[in-house]
Formats: sequence, C-alpha cells, structure tokens
Amino acid sequence: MNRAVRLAMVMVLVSLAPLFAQVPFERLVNSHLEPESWLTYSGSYDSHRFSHLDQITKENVGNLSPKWVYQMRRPGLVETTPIVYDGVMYLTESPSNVTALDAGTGRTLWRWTRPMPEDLRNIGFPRVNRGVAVLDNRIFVATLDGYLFALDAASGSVRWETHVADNATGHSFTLAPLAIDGKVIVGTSGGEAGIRGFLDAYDAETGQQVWRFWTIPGPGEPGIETWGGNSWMNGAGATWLTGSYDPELNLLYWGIGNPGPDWNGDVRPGDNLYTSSVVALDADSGTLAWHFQFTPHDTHDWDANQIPVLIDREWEGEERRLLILANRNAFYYVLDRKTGEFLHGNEYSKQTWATGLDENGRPLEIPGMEPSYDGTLVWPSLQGATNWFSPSYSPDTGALYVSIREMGSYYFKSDVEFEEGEPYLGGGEQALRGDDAQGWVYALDALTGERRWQFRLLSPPWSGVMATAGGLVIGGSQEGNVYALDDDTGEPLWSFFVGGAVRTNPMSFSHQGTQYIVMAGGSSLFVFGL
Amino acid sequence: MPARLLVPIGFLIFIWSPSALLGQAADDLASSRQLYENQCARCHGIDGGGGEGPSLIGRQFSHAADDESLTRIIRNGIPGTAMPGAGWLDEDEAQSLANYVWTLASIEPVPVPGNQALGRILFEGKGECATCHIVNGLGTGLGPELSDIGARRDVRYLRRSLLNPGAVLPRGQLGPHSSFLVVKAEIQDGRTFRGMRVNEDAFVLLLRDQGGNYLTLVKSDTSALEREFGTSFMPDYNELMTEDEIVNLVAYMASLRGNR
Repeated sequence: MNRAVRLAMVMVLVSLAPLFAQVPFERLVNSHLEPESWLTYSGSYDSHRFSHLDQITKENVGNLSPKWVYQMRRPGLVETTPIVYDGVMYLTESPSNVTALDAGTGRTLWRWTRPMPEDLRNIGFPRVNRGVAVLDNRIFVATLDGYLFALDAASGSVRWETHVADNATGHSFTLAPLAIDGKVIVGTSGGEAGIRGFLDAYDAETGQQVWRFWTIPGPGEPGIETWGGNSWMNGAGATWLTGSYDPELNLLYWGIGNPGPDWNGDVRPGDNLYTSSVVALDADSGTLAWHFQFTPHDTHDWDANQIPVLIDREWEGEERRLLILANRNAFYYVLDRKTGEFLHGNEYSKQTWATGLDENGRPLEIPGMEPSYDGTLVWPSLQGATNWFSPSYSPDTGALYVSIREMGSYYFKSDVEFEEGEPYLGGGEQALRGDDAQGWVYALDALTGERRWQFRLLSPPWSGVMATAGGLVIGGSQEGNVYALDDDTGEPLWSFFVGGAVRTNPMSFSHQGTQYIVMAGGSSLFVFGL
Repeated sequence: MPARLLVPIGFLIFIWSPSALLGQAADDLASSRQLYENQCARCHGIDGGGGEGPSLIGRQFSHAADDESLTRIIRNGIPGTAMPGAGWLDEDEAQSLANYVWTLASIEPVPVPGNQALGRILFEGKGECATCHIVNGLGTGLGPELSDIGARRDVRYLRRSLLNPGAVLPRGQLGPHSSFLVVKAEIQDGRTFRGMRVNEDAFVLLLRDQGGNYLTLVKSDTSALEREFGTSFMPDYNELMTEDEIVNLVAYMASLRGNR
C-alpha cells in the first residue's frame, strides 16, 4: 500500500470518527444543550418540538432553499421525524425500515429492512412508521408486525429483537419508541381491532420486558367499574404515539387511545378508563401515579394520543410543573403534572358536543351528539380538532402552536360484535370536506389557551409544527406547502412547494455550523438551508 | 317528514316486486334501503336519481362491473373522486348495499321529456353552450366536459344546473373542493381579477378567466379574496330560454352518454 493510499484511508477514518458516537441517557436529558442534534421524536423529553437553533431568522428565512432531497425507497405516506446526532440522520421508511444518512449530504450510510408478512394486519391506520429512538450506541425501531428491534447505530446490525405483541390480533407499531435511562418505552396501535391496550418498557441492553401497564384495568383493579360486563376485554386504549418524560419526577406521560368499539358505546357503559386519557406512570415500575380523562365514554374516536407538552411556568403566583395538551376533542387543558390536578380548560377549536368543562375538567356534554344510525352532525370530525401531528411550544413566546382541523362530520353508529383480528368499529363518519372544512395554525397562549393569532391553510392539515429560537413556526400543508410563519404574528415569511402532501413533523439540526430544517413531502424528505 | 318517507311505495314495489313484500325479503329490503339512505342518499339522492353525485338509476357503472368491485368501492371509495368509502361496513352490509344499488341500476329510466334534436340545436346555437363546454371533442373546455353528462347526472340535476348553475358546482378536479368556483381577487395595487378557481393552497391561487387565461396569484400580494359561492360564470338559462327550450336542452344533455 503506497503512502498516498494509506493517507487517504486515514483521512476517511478521521472524517468518520465523529460518526456513530454514543448517546448516553445524560445527553437525552440535556438535549437543549446541544441544539445541533435532534435526539428524540419530539426533540426533547418535554416534547416542545422547539429548535434552539437561531441561524435561520425572520429576516433571512426568505432565502431558505432545498440543500438535498432523499427519496424514500417505496412510495407511501411519510410520517417519520428523523433523529440527528454527530453528523448522522436516522429515519424510518414505510413499512418499518430504517435508513442512516450522512446529515451533510444525504448520502446513505446503511439501510435496515424488515420484511413484512403477506397477511400483515394494520387495522385502522396506514402502513407508516414515525421514527426511531436512540440510546448509547443503539437505534430502536418498533415494527408493524409487532416487534421491537435494537440496531447497532454504526452498522444497522440487529443487536436484539423482542416479540412484543401478536399482529394477528391487530397489534402493530407505528410510533417512535422513547428511550430513557436503560429502558425503551413502546406503545401499541390496534385500537380499531378491539385489543386491550398497554404500554411496555424493555431493557435497552437485553430486550427483556421490565414492566407492562395495561391501559384497560382488569378484574379487581381500580377502574374496572367503569366498564360494563366484559367490555373491558376489548376496550382498546391504544398507545400509538410517543409520550413525554420528566426525569426529575421520573414520570412518563402517555396519551391513551379511544375505547373500542369506537362509535357504538352501547356495549361498554361507563366512563371506560383509561381510554381518551393521559396517564402518568412511574418510569421504574410502570405503576400509575395519576390519570386525567379528557373524554369519558368517548363515542367519536377522540383518542388522547396527542403529544403531552411539559412546561414549567408560574401559575397563580407559584412555579408549577405543568402538562398542556390540545386534545382531539377540541378542548385545551392545563394540568399539574406532579399531581394530575386540572387547572384550566377551554374550547380552542370549533366543537358542538359540549357546553364547556366543569370545575374538574369533565365535559358538560350536549345530549344527542352521539353517533346514530341515521348520522349525527358534530364538530370536530372523528379526526379531531388536531391529531397525531405535533404541536410546538416556544419558551420565547410562551405559546403553543397547533395545527388545526376545523371540520364537521356525520357520525354513524352500527351494530358490531367482536371478532379477534378484525375491525371493531361500530360505525364511522362522513366528513364535511372540501370548502366545508378548513385548516389552520393557531398560536395558543400556553396558560390560558386563548388564541393569539391564526393562519389559514386550505385543507385540514396532517402536518405538525415546530417553533424555533429564530422566531419561526415551521409547518406543512395537504396541498404541498412547507412554510415559515412569524411566531409573534403568524405572518407568512417563506414557503416552498414540494408537490405532495406534507404529512409529518418538521425538525431542525445543525451540521458543520449550518442550520437545516427538515420536512417530508410526498415520498421525499426535503432538507432546507440558507 | 323524515326523508325516507318520500320514497314512493310504488317505487319500492317496482324494484322488489313481488317477493320483496314477504318475510325475510322485506327485512332485507328495509335494511338495504336503510343502509342506502344513511350512507349514499346524501350525494346520490334519496331515490338514487343523483344529486351532487351521479344518478344510479339505469346505469352501467364505469368503476364497478360486478359485486366484488362494487362492494370494494362501497367500502373504499374511488380515489381521485369525491366518492368516499364506508369502511366501517362489514362484508354483509356492503353486499346488502350493493344489492340495493344493482336494483337501482336495473331500473329503466323514466323517458326524458323534450326533443333531443331541438335541444342539440339550442346547445350549439342559441344557448352558446359550446363556447364553454366540450361535447365529443367539439367546443372549448372552460366549463366541465359534457360528453357523458347524461350518464353521470339525472334530469333534475341537469335542469338545476341550467337554472341555478352556481348551486351545483362539481367537485373532483381540485380534490374535495368545489371546481369552477368564482373567486374575485383584489391586488394590493388596486387591480382586481375574477376567475374560476383551478388550484389553491395556503399561498397561491390559480384562476382561469372567461377568456381561458390562467392567472397565478400569490396570496400575500392580494388585499382581498372573495369566494363567490352560489355563483357561476355560466348564465342563468331561466332568463335566456323558454320553458320548452329548457326541456329540450335537458333532453339533449340527458342523451349524452359518452358515445363518441
């Protein structure tokens, strides 16, 4: 080997040296100290989806342009939020594949493919994956066929795999797992198949189960009295979106899905705990610390899987640890996240099913708004005032930015019997579409839920938003716009037409001193920079 | 009065006669009709005669040739059109609904009154319809293509589209949004544009004026946008034609069934 070749090899090794570094738990806790990285699904354990990078500003965002584009290997919906650290981007592709890219150029480093069985069952949701988790030198991905994998961050090789739940019964995974100290948290989809929901923790080193929290209490457990007969057995309560974590309280906060069957509540009299609730769980044991139910006995598929956002703010003269959440049912909530105490709630988007909330946050329901055999017109539609796509909290403005679906729907009820591995719905909807529906971005005061400004999108969106320290709110539209708004006023500052529906959440990272903003549109991932 | 009572008893006897009035068959009829009224009637009309969606009476469906394809459409919809799916229906319900739809499709359409030949003369002459619509390759495409309009819409819809065109804007070209919607835009420099909406998103509005010219407007450059729901560039033919002429024009349009 001549000297030039040896030198070239050394140069290559040197250039790769920062790649594939370790991400210990401490880095995840202190993610705000390295704004160049994006280390969890929502960017941080408190799920602010806020980028502390400020290179792209209100003044220069007009110069933003695509720097590279990654084409997904197969067409389909793209709902992934990439993880980026130490020069590498990790993203998922449909159905449950993982790809590592060089963050500076978009060139592929490795690719891991999970073949899917022909009889794969995804009941009530498309074949998507929303991203990976990282801890130490491992990348974790939960797959549609019911498995949790740990991949080597450097090579994509499988370090362990765990069969979490049987896909034949409708269990499936679309969420990005959440990695905490030594554990990987994973929740299940399948609420439309009448599963009994759960949230699991697995040892990050071995893949062994550490604990399981059943979202539907069993016989003898508190809450079973909220289920008539044996309806708890098929009570759903899926956990299909990534939750939040408070390392100091060591509490996990996770949104729980709708009860099953979705639209026929006759077969499950009672409040149906812990469906359409948020639960706080001890991260070591999985035991329930508290719960808050947003929609008791839900019959509109208004699950509560939306992202719980954790903020520390002064509340009536006292510094409080708060949990704020814009719920699918069109009400906004402020809770004490240490105790679960309801502090405030208000309508934030058009709704016609409740006159308000009582002093405990329980909705004051209007009779006759349940689904019916002839159809009942109700706002919001079953997709809710908002849905899985992420909100964003800016500590600079104190606002929660939310993508809004202002849409009504005729809700139908039908008779239904449970059959394992089959849809367990009991009805459906015919939504008011087209010009009868609207999309918006709202800036809500985080403490009062009052609307500060609004920006009109044409159709109800399926894209989340991200606020930045540069004073921007980034988002996307069904029509194919990626946009930047002024976080103070909602004024549009920049947009780019990607030519396909944007159905994911934005994120931002910095590589070699340059800030990038990432958003998927159509079947491609666009990386924008100045 | 509940809408379902508007269905004439004679109509039901006609489509299910005679065993439909007996036992299980009557139950099947009731449940099939109930499904239809709940899931389909809002667009296809309470009697299947069409509305916002096409008439189902006396039809050969371009997307559904058999039970399998029809039940698939019932459950999944037709991508790229305004036809949604009713995915919550199980196979038996979808089949029951399909049976009802086939029955509607087998009904001989009521003869259309009027004179087709005179209607064609009106279409191509006094009505000046070809200045905006294409039939079998002739005319201009400012408005919807009409070559098979008689197969897609029933007589009542066609008549309404002549007398109150702004009330029946079709959907589909712009996803679920109304196509041909008239929008008036005022630019910040004071100029105004009025055109039919071809495309729209949060930032850009693409209009087409009555001369067929496309206009791209950046919304941030506009000071006002007025969506004129209920109006149309198409004239109100009530003022242009006699009742007999409208009947003849409808007769001609109803005869347009895609024969090239």
